[in-house]
Amino acid sequence: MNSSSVDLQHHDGIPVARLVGEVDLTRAPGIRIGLLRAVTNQDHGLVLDLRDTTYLDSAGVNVIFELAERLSARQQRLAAVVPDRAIIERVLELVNLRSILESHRTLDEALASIQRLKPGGP
Amino acid sequence: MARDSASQLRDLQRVTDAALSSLPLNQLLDTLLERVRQILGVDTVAILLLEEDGRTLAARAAKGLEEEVERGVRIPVGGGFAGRVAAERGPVQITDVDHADILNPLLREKGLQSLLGVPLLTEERLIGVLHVGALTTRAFSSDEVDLLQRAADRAALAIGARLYERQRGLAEEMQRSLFPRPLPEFPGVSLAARYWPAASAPLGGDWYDAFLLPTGSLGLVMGDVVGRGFRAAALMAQLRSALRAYAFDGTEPWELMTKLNVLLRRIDPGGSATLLYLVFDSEAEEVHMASAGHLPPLLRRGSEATFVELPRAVPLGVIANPVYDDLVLEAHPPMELVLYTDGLMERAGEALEEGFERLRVAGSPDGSDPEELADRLVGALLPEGAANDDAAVLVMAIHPLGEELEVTMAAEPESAPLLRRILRRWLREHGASPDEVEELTLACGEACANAIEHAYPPEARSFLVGAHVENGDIVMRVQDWGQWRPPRGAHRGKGMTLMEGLTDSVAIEGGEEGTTVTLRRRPQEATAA
Repeated sequence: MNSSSVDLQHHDGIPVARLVGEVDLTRAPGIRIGLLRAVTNQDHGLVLDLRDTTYLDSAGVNVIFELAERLSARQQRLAAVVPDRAIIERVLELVNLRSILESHRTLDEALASIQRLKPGGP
Repeated sequence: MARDSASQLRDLQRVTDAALSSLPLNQLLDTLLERVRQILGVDTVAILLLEEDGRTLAARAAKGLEEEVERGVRIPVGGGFAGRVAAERGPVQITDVDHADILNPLLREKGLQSLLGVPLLTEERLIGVLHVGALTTRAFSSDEVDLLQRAADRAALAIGARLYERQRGLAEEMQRSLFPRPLPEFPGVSLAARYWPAASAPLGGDWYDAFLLPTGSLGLVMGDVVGRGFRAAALMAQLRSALRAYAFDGTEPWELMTKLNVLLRRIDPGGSATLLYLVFDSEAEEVHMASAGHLPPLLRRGSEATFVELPRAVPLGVIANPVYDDLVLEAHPPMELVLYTDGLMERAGEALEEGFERLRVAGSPDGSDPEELADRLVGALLPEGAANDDAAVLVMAIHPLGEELEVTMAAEPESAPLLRRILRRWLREHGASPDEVEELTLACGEACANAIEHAYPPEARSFLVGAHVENGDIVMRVQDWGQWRPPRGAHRGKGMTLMEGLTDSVAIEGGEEGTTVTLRRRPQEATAA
């Protein structure tokens, strides 16, 4: 398992932040910094890719809430790719994260939802 | 100056006087120089010592021209009079000083006419220069040259011993500071380590290390840098830090070897080291290890001891692109692994095979206390301590978790990943389904996060996690010695939500002495039965 914080890539100019492995209290502070830095003012939104996330505790959940609030305040969209992994789905449901986080099954869907915000986008 | 042989002998005794050796170095040099000045009837006596760069002489003690020391005179080897003595490593005499030869302005100002200098040597190594000067023109006799050389030898002996002592003290302290103390605590594992510096050399290149990885696994290291002295120790220190940095990034053992090989060849071309690195994953019950030409660990299961068959691989630094492979070893407890360096088993005139056999036999008897095992190995293999090579041993014993889990952890965030690995394994072994393992691990993780967050030193540096099965329920208990704090801030309280959502019941008992959180859940399997 890689212990670095956030794996950031760009797809068609849209930042995609992948959280790999266990997101817990030890990694949450580093991940928070990585996520907040991932989005610039010019971006229309961020894709949060949780497909390779194997563990997500309340410290990680709090980071996602903070990220969602920041993006919302800047009129930017946060689209998550949520895996078919019981523990992650269960956590998102229990803390009611889905109320503020738009979630998709695939990366393409998540990208498309942000693409639509771009001027001249599909 | 005509002197009889009796007075010559007396003079000689005055500079070789054994009583001098009981004096502190400064006093010894002072006394010795004053005696030399009186015996030879000269106007100045000075000792200059070679600096660590090996190219400069600096005034250390003087009589007659004491200002020399205070002004911090420095002379390059090969330049000036003292520099010439150092370069020639033998007596040099000038009876009619040409001022062009004299770099030291003090010597010129005083108008010295004659100079005699001899080298300070310890074991053939130049450490400085002793010289005398007279304001008159005079030739020094061979007896006088001999006497000065004896005084120089006496001074060299004292200075050399002092330097060696200081070097050895520093060296041992540095080496000791690089070993992990205390060894990390890891549930279900106990560790023991031993290190002996070689009697003959102050600094060896052996090192061991043990650390918790961010993933919650345990990393163990045994290495041996080729060579000795400061260069070997400095390389060892650099490799140790680099290894930890790579390891903390989650680098696999084989890849870590590859990276260290590149690094070693850059920082010390020509240097080399053998190295063994292993990662114990307590959840998967596996050990992943890679070796760079290091001796194979001894593996004990019960009273059977065998050597792990490692893929062949060259030591670090030897070639540009070596191939390293990981060996994966099943690590079901109880078992012990013994890591060591060759200093443990090498004996003069003995084949390596005999050393292996002695180690195997000494490691065979049953008993899983690593301290006892380490002592037994050392008693059998190094009955008289380490002789010519330093030696290190690191023993890891893996114990079964047991029916009732009870582990004490440091109240640090780093404990969390480690605890999850232990918990998952215990839950799996006690009837929880894969989903239940994950959910209960998360619920317990939240209780632990609370304990870690609310631990205030010094009384609350640790917390306890217990788990057992009670009437078919899995019961997990997290106990700390801090105060339970109600959740604060907009996003707080999610930990509680998760604990409640993922278990059948959450009970929190708080008191003056700490807080205990008890989580219960009946596994599906048990419900169905």
